[in-house]
Amino acid sequence: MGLIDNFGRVASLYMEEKEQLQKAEEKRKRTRTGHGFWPHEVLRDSIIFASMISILLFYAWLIPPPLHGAADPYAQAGFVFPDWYVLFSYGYLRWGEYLPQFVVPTGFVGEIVGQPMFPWNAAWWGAALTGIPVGILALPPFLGGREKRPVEDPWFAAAGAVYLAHIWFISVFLHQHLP
Amino acid sequence: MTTMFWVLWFFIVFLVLLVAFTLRKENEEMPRRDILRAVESTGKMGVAERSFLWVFSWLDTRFRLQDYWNMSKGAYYNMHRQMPLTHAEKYKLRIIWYWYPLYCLGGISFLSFIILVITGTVLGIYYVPGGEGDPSPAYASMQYIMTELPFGYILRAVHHWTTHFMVASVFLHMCRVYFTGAYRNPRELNWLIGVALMALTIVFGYSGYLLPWDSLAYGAAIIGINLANSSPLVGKYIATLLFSGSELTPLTVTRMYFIHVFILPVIVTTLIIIHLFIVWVQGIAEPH
Repeated sequence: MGLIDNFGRVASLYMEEKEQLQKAEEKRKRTRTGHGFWPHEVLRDSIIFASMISILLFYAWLIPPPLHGAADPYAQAGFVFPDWYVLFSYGYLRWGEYLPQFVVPTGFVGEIVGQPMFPWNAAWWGAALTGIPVGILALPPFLGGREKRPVEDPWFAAAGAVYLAHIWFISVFLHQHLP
Repeated sequence: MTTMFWVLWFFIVFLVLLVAFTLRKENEEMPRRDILRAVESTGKMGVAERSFLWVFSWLDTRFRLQDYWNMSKGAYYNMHRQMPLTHAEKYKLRIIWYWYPLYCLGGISFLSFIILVITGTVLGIYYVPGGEGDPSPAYASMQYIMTELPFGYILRAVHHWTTHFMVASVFLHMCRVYFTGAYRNPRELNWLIGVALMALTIVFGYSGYLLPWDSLAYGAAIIGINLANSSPLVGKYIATLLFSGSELTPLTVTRMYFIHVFILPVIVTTLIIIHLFIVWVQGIAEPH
């Protein structure tokens, strides 16, 4: 008996047990009493999509997409301001310039990959700090609980509000107040 | 002209003969006509239903769809029986009014993605992904699109603005899912796929930002390659993977083009299909 056969045996045992447990619940059938796809959602989506496309074409008509001078590697670095959705990462990068910077020895692994000393500089502060809010997004499913609205679960709603305020702070407020 | 004319007609005649022979053979072996008559006698059917039935039975006699049909029907109803009832179902709510308009945000992201695919495909016909020379082919082709190509300017404008719409609606969609608690059991996996999709959307935006290869794109590329290079131990490998070298070269724009038009679309399209399939199977988590 190989490993795969064992998996198959375990899976079929699981299914047998589950079917026995489910016999008690045979009568419970999923019924659809919520809002229907037709006509409610279709109507709502048509209205919203049409408005969105009209706004989109209005913008495309009025505001030209930017095209600056050609890239020149020898030119002095100009003023660069990224798109709004990566401003938070840029904010961490600029914040990193004011955080302590040091050099970490990387030991024999560093010798193998050819980087015996790792400089913990502003760029790495920026990259590492960017990873924190993005990584936090993967956590909520593991904190458990049934679905609740914010009124029933104020702590989760408050955590979300703090998160959004922090992103706003890093991507807007910080740029206004850094020299 | 006349050659094309005859070739076309021979092709059409060939197709007609092929279909005719196929149908003749089928009539000998399959009692399809009897099944069709039996189905049609059960009730009045419109033109759409009649055509669908014809196509469905045509496919069934060739690919034996009945197995797959029964299998997927069984899977669909079984999965639905196992899903927990939503709040609206449990308490038989007829009207859900709060949060309700915010439930279109995922659809807006999807619509934006489709618009981006269509406009991006047309832009890709004229864009040249090369960074060598001054001005580079990439920049020259952007100037061509913006100034000479008919409708090129408006096409790029739509592509540009739809990007902002897509990122914004993805962010807001995520906020809606969080604040209505829809990411909880049984929808954890879909939340994680959504997080991956949001990160990939940002990478999409960044890689597209570099493609014009103007001064702004160059500055953004410098910031990006500095971030990639700064990672401990694996920094220069990440930079080589994403920017084709630990320093910016003319090849960077080619690498970004490949990421933007091949790698990311394949991954993102697959994830979107899985994301929507899971929503279809599990149903929408209604607020309560």
